[in-house]
Amino acid sequence: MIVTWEVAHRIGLWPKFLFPSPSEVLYTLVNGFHDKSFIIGIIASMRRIVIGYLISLVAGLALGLSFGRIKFLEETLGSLALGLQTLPSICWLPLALLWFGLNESAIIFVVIMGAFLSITIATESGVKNVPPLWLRAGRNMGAKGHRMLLEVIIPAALPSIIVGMKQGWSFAWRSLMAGELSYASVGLGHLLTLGRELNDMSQVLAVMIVIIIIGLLVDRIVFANLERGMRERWGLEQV
Amino acid sequence: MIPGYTSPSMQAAQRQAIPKLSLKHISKNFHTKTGKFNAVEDINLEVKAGEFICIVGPSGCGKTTVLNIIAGLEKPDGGDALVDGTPIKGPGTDRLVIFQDLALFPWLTVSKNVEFGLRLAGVSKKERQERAMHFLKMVHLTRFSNSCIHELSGGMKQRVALARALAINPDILLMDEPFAALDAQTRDILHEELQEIWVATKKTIIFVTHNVREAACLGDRVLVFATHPGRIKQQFQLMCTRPRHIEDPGLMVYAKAILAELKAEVEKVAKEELDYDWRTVTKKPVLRLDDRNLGSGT
Repeated sequence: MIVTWEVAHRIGLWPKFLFPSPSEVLYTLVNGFHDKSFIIGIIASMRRIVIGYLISLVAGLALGLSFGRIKFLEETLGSLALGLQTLPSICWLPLALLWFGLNESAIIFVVIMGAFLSITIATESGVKNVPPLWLRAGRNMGAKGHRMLLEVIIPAALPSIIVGMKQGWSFAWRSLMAGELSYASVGLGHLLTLGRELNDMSQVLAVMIVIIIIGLLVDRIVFANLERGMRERWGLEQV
Repeated sequence: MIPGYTSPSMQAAQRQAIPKLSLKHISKNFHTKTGKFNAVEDINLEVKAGEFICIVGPSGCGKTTVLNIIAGLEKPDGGDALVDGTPIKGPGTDRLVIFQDLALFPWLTVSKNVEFGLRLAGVSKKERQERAMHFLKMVHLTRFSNSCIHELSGGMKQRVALARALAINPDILLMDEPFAALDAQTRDILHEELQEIWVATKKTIIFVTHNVREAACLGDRVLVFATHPGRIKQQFQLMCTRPRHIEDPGLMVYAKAILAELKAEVEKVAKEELDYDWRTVTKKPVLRLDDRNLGSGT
């Protein structure tokens, strides 16, 4: 495919400035890492997403657990969470810019709004679907209050929580890119904007490749392992 | 038994006068869409420390409800439930349930499952492991201590559940049809081992089952429950020597008597559940060979 692309480019099937050849993209890629502009971008983006995601994780777990355990909260705020989740998180950007100003916090806020609701909802459904039998068994063996939560409810809800974390990550990643494209001084999204403004299509493509690779790596390494470990332990493979 | 450890059951044995467990006029209702449903009514029972009680009865007779009340997982609507003369207030680790579906935790290994209750009780890691190992040895599962739950067979899971309950060292073991899902051979083996463990640990056991012969094999006393509302219909004191085997001819006399009591109840339930034209098959003639389609060629 890459060869066809290269050949098509060489014989001039389309204007060269609109779509670069693979070799040009590769050159930009190498160059980008060499002059550190890509590395700076990746670090800036990763910093935002890690901070944003960690906050989402903590907030999402806390909120999901309380929704799952406290009926009153679920009935009042639960539907609100569901409603808000339909809103693409980038829609929070104007608000975030007004609240936090033109800075990191605004983008991190958008990332949080992307991830945290899906973690909340998955945690809530996980907690609500814990078989009552396990709760009785836990109670029978002396589990109460926070011990019950830590030793029975959270482990029992873990399969669902992991699904939520995975989904939350991909939402966070998307939100971050959208946020950086719309407004950011550094970061991968900003490199894309820069490429467009300079009419440097090979930079645009090179950055897109970097974004895909990071997304894949996190999904394959972090979440795939997390999920596999859990599945093996629970014996879900056979089912 | 762990050396240097005096279980509450031993102390209780010294206070013989008070029954280990006593239920007085226990009743419990459930509210369903169709109205109030009387699960159990006026249950009276006294259990001595170290006694092995079996409860048989048709489905829906409130056997499980009684277990849950003793476990403190459900509150009776009326009557008193006392352990060692003190009223039951909620669940306690002196009364452990082995649930019908076992409720082992799939996120923990076998030994971690056995340690579960000990960890909640704040037992130190070293002692926890020792005790888990001790009870896994008792049920002959030490080789699988690091296995995941889903890797075990039904009988092995049963053993883990038993070890997990014993590790917490309860006075009373409440077993809710624990062997119902096992094949007959595995069940036989577990019957023998349960009797051994019972003798070795001197637990008070209340064992709910559908299986009359199982009840006759295991119980010092067998209670037959009646249904609608659930109540104790008949009690049988079994005087056979132990260890008993489910096929012992001496037990058959008891099993037959228990079955006769039970059958009337089961039929009553069937009459309520099935169409009006249903009746028991009492004297069906022996089937002819060609009715059975054994391929005799005739």
